[in-house]
Amino acid sequence: MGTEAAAAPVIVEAAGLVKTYGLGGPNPVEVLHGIDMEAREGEFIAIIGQSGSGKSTLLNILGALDTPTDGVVRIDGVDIATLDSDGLADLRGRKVGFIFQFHYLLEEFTCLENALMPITIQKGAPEREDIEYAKMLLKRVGLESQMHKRVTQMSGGQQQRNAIVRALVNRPRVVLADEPTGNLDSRSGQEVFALMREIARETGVAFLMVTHDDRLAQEADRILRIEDGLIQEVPRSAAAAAVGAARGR
Amino acid sequence: MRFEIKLAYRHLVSGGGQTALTVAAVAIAVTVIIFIQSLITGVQRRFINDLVGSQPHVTVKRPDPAPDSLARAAERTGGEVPGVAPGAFLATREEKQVQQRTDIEQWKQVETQLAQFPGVRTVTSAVRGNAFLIRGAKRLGVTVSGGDPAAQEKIVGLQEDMIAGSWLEIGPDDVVIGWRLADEAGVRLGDRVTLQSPEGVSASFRVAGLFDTGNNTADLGQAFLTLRAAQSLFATRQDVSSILVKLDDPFQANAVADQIAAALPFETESWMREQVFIMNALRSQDQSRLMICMFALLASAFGIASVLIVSVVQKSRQIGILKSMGARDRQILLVFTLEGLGIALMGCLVGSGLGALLLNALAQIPQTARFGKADKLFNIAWDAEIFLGACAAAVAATLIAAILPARRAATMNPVDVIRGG
Repeated sequence: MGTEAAAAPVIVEAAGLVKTYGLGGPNPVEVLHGIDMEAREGEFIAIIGQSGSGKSTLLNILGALDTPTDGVVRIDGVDIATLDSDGLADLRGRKVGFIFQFHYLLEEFTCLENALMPITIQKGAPEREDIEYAKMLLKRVGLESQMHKRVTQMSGGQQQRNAIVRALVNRPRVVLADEPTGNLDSRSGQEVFALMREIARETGVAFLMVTHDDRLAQEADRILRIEDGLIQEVPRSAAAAAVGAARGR
Repeated sequence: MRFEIKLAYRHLVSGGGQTALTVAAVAIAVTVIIFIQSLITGVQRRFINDLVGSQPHVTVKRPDPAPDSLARAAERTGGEVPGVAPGAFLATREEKQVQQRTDIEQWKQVETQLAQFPGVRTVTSAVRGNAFLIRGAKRLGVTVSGGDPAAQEKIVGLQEDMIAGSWLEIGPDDVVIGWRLADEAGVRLGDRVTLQSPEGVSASFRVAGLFDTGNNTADLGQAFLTLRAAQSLFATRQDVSSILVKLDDPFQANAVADQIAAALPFETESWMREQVFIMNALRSQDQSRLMICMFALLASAFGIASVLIVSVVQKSRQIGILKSMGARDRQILLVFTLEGLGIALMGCLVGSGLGALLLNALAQIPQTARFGKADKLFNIAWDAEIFLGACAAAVAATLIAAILPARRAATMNPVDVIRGG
């Protein structure tokens, strides 16, 4: 798998990434000190690190939701520094899918409508093939019978699966998941993770997942650890120890 | 656009009580504006009609001839004034010839000219003057107006105020007076009274009709004759003393009066200048209603702004997630602006309905009848412009109120709001 992935095209690329908060203020905090990394098509990458290490910040920058203080980010070959706010919004809409710890589904809409939200934002109304694709994905994650239910009528696990479909419906090149199972019980978490893993393989997206769960991280293709604002690849064999160490601190 | 409309609509529907509250705020403002505007416009129209309805808007007269001074006479003749040595110092005192009648001779022709002025609805010639109405030992001062009854009717609109006898069909022997004057003089319909003019002419007339305009000055001090009768009474021969003009819009009286005075060799009087205190009263009434409407709008705009700001804060996560899914700032701005618009439109609908109901209820209140003439206490102006104007003002105020929260939503940083989760 490793060699296979190395041959695949690079989807997300970061070079010399620096992020400083409170720049120009009395105590600026540099969270990321120069991150170099890449994610290839079809790769499933786990990002680990202790709380406050900058994992979420990195994810937001890689998804064009936040901008780096320094360094270069390329998403599907496009340098995000060259884009204005509308350009960034369009890039997110077309190439990126986000999954958060909380589902953040829109309560005013049904499961299917939520799943189609990125398409609705882009096109005004989804076309028939978009609806078919969303239905196929919902079926794939076991929400076939929930499609026309309100978000509030679904369980936590169902809501998060709904959010996964929403992240995939616009056929993105990369999906960024920030502790997607963090708010679920361990069984639902396992199920949701397995689904993400399978769908990533099926759709060929680059999948970056921030997690605290060492068992889940071990099942990724690669594990990256953020420590003191720097990133480090953890060899698969040493992954368990690394995750354990990160958690132990 | 469909995404924005859909989301704004869902927000409003799911907003429930919050939406109802803002709609109510707009509706109340619209109701207040419609109510105040229709009521005051109606009251003013009736007031103007009662007041100006029985008098001409513009009166055209021959100016008092200016006295000729010796100095002007000297200028005209090149310094030669008979009996005065050339270069002699001249001191003259001018006195206005107030006692001289200034009648209009070619009045038919002048009527035609006046009818050409813009905004002029009707023109009629009249002989007007002061006279005494004598009955036994009583001598009461009256203003006599003599003219063709049908033509005068268009100016004074007396027919609807007639309570006894006739007016449009009077002959040269007839006089029509107000009921208060009749009461004061102790005469009834059909009795004879004598009119005496400053020209020294006295004539006897039969009281052919009585009117009640509701205006004491008119009811106590006005008498109407035929043109022929008035010409004899005031000894004007075939001439008239003034030409009366009625306009489409009474408030154009000053402008038209000035135009006529500039174009023709006549002096003009406008009702608005004759009754300055009324104009001031109307103006202050206009200002107070404007203030009431402004405050109603302001109160509702503040209400809407605060509810929308709360709604934006409540929805900040959602705004962040929408942005992460590719929503542009402009789209978010549009969503919340559309919500404001939706609230405004619903508020206008409800407010217009409420306003109409309220006005309808008010219009039903009867006025105490006098001389058997039943009337409504309030004269409500049912103008489409008032309803449309109130709605337009409410929509504008609501949109302005929505701008701040909508901008706040649009410029929200998605990272900040999502991290907060």
